[in-house]
Amino acid sequence: MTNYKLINNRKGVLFTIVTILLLISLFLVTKAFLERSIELDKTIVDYQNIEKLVYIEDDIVSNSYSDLLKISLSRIKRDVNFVNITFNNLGVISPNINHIKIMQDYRNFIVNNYSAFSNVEISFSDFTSNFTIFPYNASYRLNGSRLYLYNPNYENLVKISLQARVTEDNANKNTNDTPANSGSGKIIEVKIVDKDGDTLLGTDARILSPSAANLPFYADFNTTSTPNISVYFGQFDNRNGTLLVSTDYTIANITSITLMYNATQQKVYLSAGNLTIVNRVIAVNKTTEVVLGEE
Amino acid sequence: MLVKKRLDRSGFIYTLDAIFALVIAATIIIASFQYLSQTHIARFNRSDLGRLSNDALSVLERDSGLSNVVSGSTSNVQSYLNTLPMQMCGNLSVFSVSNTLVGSIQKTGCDSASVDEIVVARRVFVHSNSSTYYARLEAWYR
Repeated sequence: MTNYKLINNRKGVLFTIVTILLLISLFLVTKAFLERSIELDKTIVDYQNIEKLVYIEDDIVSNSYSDLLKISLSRIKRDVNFVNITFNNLGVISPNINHIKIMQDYRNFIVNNYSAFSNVEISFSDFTSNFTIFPYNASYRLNGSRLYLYNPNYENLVKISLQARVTEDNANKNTNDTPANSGSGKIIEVKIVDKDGDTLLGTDARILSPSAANLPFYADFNTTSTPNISVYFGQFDNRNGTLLVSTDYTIANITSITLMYNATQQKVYLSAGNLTIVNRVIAVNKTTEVVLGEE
Repeated sequence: MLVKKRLDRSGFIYTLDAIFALVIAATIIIASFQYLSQTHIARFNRSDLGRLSNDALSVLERDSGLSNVVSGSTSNVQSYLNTLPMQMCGNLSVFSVSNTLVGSIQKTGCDSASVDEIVVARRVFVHSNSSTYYARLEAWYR
């Protein structure tokens, strides 16, 4: 004879156990969901902080250097034997422009103010009005009315083609000179135009010794204070292979320059120092080389 | 009489059992909901808004929109802000390095007065006269 009471009792116990197990499962699932959510939240905070560093890096590195100094790299072209580095603009030289101060002001704002806004620490190394062309170690320096391009490895330098525009008028031109050819050396090609684009000094190419004190390409004007521009190549301050563009009492824009070097196996790039960003929220820092251009 | 007494005792046990069951079930369910209520996805929203704001500033810097604000022209920044996603609002302000407000433009039809959460993005830029400025974009969802 079937014992219905016993069967019903067993069903009740089974129902109770299943219900308790379901409730415990629900509890454990929600607890696990919360823990996972907290973990995810931490991951998102880390991610957002790291992402912030990338945006800050892009903000500073992307084009501030070229905007501050009015430099525009056009291209770096390599063929079998040579590398041509061409700038659309290599800066404006003027006694009224303090390039070092422009860079200093920018650096101070980033380090003192921008870093505080962004809750990070930012520091620069060698972020001045200089940059270096690797692997040739040619260093560019802009300061007021002087533009220097030092070429310590001048053996690899083949040719410099430069065009400058001055703010004077061709009608006021006084004298102009070009240096004599050296026996051997580098090809230096210079063209200087006036404010309207009229030629002051034609595209004169000379072969100049990098270790001699050559005469400069030169033009001056018969207006007040005799404004002038000169483009010199040779030994300067005991440094061979130096290109120096200078003006007095006038402004010159280096509207185009092409540097031709012997090709090497290494990648050509332009470096303007380093940038380090330290996040104050999480222990992450990022150091980046300020690269103005690369192959 | 004996049957009635037995029935009374059974009823009491059933009631007690039901109360215990209810208490246990309610405790577990309340604890579960408590856990669920502690989870939130606000950071996901902020992350998207932050990225959109930073990207907007990058675009405005590269197409000279920010420089135009310094020069006094705000029309292309206004147009750009108006083309942001429909649910996103933004207010862009440009400051000099000495924190002087140069200009401020807000997306048409947006009001931040009753907004709980605003994301702020900043970007430094150099004007054509080699002077440094920074832009601040405040963004929020409608």
